[in-house]
Amino acid sequence: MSSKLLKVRNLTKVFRSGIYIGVSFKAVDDVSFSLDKGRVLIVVGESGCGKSTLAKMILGFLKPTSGEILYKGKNIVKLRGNEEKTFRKEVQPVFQDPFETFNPFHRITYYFLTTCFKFGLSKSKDESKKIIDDVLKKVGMSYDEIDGKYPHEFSGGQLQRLSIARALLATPTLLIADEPVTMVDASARIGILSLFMELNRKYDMSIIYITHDLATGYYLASQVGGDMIVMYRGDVVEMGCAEEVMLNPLHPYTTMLLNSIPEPNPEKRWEGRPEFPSIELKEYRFSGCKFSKRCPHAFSKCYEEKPELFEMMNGRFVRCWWVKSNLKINEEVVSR
Amino acid sequence: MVEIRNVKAYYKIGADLFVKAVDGVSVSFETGKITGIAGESGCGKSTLLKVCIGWIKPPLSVLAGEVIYKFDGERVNILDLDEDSLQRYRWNLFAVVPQAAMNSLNPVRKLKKIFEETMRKFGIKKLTKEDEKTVEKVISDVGLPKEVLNMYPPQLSGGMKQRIIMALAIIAKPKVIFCDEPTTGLDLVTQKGILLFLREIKEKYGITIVLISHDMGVHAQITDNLAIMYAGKLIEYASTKEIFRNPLHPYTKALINSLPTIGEKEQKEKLPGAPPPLLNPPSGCRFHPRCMQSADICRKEVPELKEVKPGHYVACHRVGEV
Repeated sequence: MSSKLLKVRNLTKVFRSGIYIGVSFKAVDDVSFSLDKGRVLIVVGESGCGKSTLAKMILGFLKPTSGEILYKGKNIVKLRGNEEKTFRKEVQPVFQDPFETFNPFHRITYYFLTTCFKFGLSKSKDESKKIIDDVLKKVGMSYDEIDGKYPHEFSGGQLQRLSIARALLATPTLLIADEPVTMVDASARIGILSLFMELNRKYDMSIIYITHDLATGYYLASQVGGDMIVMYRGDVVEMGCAEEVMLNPLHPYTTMLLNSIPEPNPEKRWEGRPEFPSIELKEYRFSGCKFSKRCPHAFSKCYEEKPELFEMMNGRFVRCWWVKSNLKINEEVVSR
Repeated sequence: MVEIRNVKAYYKIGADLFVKAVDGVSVSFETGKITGIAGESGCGKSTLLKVCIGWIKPPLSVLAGEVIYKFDGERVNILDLDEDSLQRYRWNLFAVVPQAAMNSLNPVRKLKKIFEETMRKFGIKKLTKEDEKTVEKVISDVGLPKEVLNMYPPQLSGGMKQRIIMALAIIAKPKVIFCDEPTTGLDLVTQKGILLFLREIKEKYGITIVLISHDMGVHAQITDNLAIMYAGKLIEYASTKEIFRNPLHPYTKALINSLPTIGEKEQKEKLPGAPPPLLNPPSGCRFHPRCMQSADICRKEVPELKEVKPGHYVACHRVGEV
């Protein structure tokens, strides 16, 4: 158990609104997974599926309602003093919007120097500069390039690189990247993704890559391997080896997502009439399967009882009654 | 058809400082087709749209060029019109779905009121039974129940609001609709719905649609023709199928080759560098500092947009040579 870098057990976050007769819904509902050192985990789902809430909890920004997050065997909520400092240093975030990450009134170097100072990485300014130059080299930039400049003098792609470089300064073991390429131009996206691959390969860094863009998720997974979690309305609906999930989806929701990707190939166009999903808060509190209202395969059981996360084959989990009843592969494996 | 001829639109930011957002662009949008405009942020695609709809407010100024709408024998140059006559053409000649439009719905107005206010723009004082029918029809066109008319915008999801915006755009049966990043920020499944809806109204009503998006996947799925912009210049124009099958400009090639696709395992090429600042763009071809094939001529001379094949236009000195 101690070999796991990160272990998430029955993690739940309930948000309440209103004062007396409040409405509450589970943004993250009973999520469990684990991550080994040097592995990549890809979390995909649409807006409102709880993927960012999950990231915030792992980073320690939000307190879970129930369940626990074990980093190197220790519950992160209970970390104090030096242990907390080490955790903050080793688990680093990369956020979605590079333009909002940096305060426009501060020079870029300010961020790097304060990070050096906060984590006690260096004793003098010259030493800091050297360390900063080293991390900037990793992202393909240099200290002289950023010296004295303000955030607006950089493009989105460059800022995202700087944001990653700042995270690298603390020599993290786990990088949590929440939609890191969404705001970056198409031609710079591959550059950022290649950077993640390199960090994973060269420095054995674990990465949790959170995205709604399945194509970039697939690309990362196809190059470095890794697992994937598909979330829907706070639930994990499918989990397994990322490549297998993408190429051979089992859950109807995963299939629907994959079919909705605008494939950059005008020879393979979508057919049919427009269909729109009805997205409602009710779905979070639905007693049956949360996807049942939109599911093409739903039958009576789906509306009444919430499916568990069944293990279908080795390491592949699906939360679906329909898949469970139609795909009885490796029954013995499950019972064992 | 909408014809744009040699438009130069600059943002004036100082006595002699101009951001050359659109610099000598000529393109035409075919009637009854979806024309896509692709390019990265800051390439001038949204400025081009502003020029197309005559929305020219300081610091933006148009230094040269014309935008001609040719419909039913009528021929209007939008840039010649004053505000009053422009108002006559808004909504029924062209409608606009601006970027992040779904956030522009007044949150304290019922949707019915929003529709009423919009229809007042083209001379309707109070909604008659017939007008209400029209509203209900467009609402059902976008796949919403008519009950939403009694709701307020915050009660709707992002996708539903975007569909309301689409309904507002088609209510006066315009000839052209300009959509600026209509699906950015929406979920995948909703995005598919909106895009298929655009394709449907094109087929149903023969509306000409101009779609601005940075997402090449979106263009591949629904556009008929595709214009690629880079640093304020139009660099390639052809039918969408032709562009994806046979991209000629090195930038277009890089853009298409960098797209990850599910099922493809090979490592993608990355394009070095970043788009240039438009305040002081590079001399000659604006792409030359990032281009692998640039030669001396690329540094000195600005390449013209040439027709290299029937219907396929490229602005590159080295096309055909490499």
